[in-house]
Amino acid sequence: VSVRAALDAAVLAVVAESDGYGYDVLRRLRGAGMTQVGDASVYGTLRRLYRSGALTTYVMPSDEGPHRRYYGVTDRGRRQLEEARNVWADFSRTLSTLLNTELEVTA
Amino acid sequence: MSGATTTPDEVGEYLGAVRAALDDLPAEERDDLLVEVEASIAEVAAESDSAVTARLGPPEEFAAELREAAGFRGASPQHAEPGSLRALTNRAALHPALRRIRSLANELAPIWWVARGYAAVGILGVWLQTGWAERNPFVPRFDDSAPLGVASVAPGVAASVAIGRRQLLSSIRQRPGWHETGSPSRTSTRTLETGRFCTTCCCTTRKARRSRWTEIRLKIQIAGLCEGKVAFFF
Repeated sequence: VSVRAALDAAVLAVVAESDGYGYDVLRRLRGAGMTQVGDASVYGTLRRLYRSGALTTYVMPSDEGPHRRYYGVTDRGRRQLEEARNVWADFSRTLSTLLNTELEVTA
Repeated sequence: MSGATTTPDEVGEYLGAVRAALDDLPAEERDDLLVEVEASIAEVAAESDSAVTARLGPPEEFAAELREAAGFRGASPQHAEPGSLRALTNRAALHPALRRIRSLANELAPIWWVARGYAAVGILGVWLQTGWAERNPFVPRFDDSAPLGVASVAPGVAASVAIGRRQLLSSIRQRPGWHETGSPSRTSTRTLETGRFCTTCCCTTRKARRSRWTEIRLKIQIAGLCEGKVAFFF
C-alpha cells in the first residue's frame, strides 16, 4: 500500500460521500484527520483520478466568485474505491496481526 | 488588513512561478492543474487573512508536489535547487523588465512577419540568381521583370503573415482560461480583471462586456498584447 494509493482511496471516499470542488475536498480530508496532506497533492490527485476515468467533473455557478469545478465518482471510481477498501482491510489486518505478535513476543 | 494579506499581484506571481515549473507538461493538463490551483487559492484567500503564498510554501516545491500527485514523472530539471540556473531562468521570466520586452516583441511581431515574407522572396530571388531590380534595389527581380518581383513579394508577405497569425491564435488557445467555444469563461474574465495571467503585458483590463469588441480585446489580452493596439490581427 503506497502513500499514493492511500491518498487515492481517501480522495475517492470523500468524493463518493458527496461531490465536491477542489478546495472542498481538501477541507474535508483535513477535517477527517488527514491534517498533513498537502494542497498540491490533493489537486494533483483529483486531476489524475479524473484523467484515469475514476472521477467526472462538471462546473457549477457559485454565489461567492467564479464557477466551481465539482468532481463526482464514476462507476469506475466506485470499483476502484471498493478494491481499495479490500486491499486496505487486508493490509491492516495483516499488519495488526504482525504487530500484536511482535508485542506478545517482547512482552 | 494586516501586511500578511495576499494581494492579487502576489497570487499572480505565485501562479506564474508554478506555471513556469510545469512548463514541460502537456499544455492542456498543465492548464487544468493551474485552473484548479487558482480556484483554490481564491477560496483560501477569501476565508483567511494570512498570506496564501506562505501557507503553500515555495512555488517550485508546490509545483513538484502537484506534478508528482498528478502522475507526471520525470521530476524534470525544474526540480532544480534554488539558485540553480533553472530556478534563475524561472525567476527571470517573471521579471517586469523581461515581461515588458516580451510584450514589446509581441506587439512588433507583425512587422517581423512582413519582413520575413519579404526576405523569403528576396532570398528566393538571390537563389534563382535573378537578383534585384536595377533601378530599385529593394525590389526583387524575377525573369528580368521588376513588376513581377513586386507581384511575387505580395503573396510571400501574405503567406508569412498568415502563418504568424495562425501560430499566434493557436498559442492563445493554449492559455489558461481559454475555452474553445470562443468566449472567455467567467473565470478567465476574472483572471484578466486582476491581470493574473496577463504576464506579457502591463495593461489593466477593463470590465468585460458582452460585445464582440470586448471579446476581441480579451483575446488580445490573453495573448498578452495590449489595449487593442493590434486589433487588426483579428
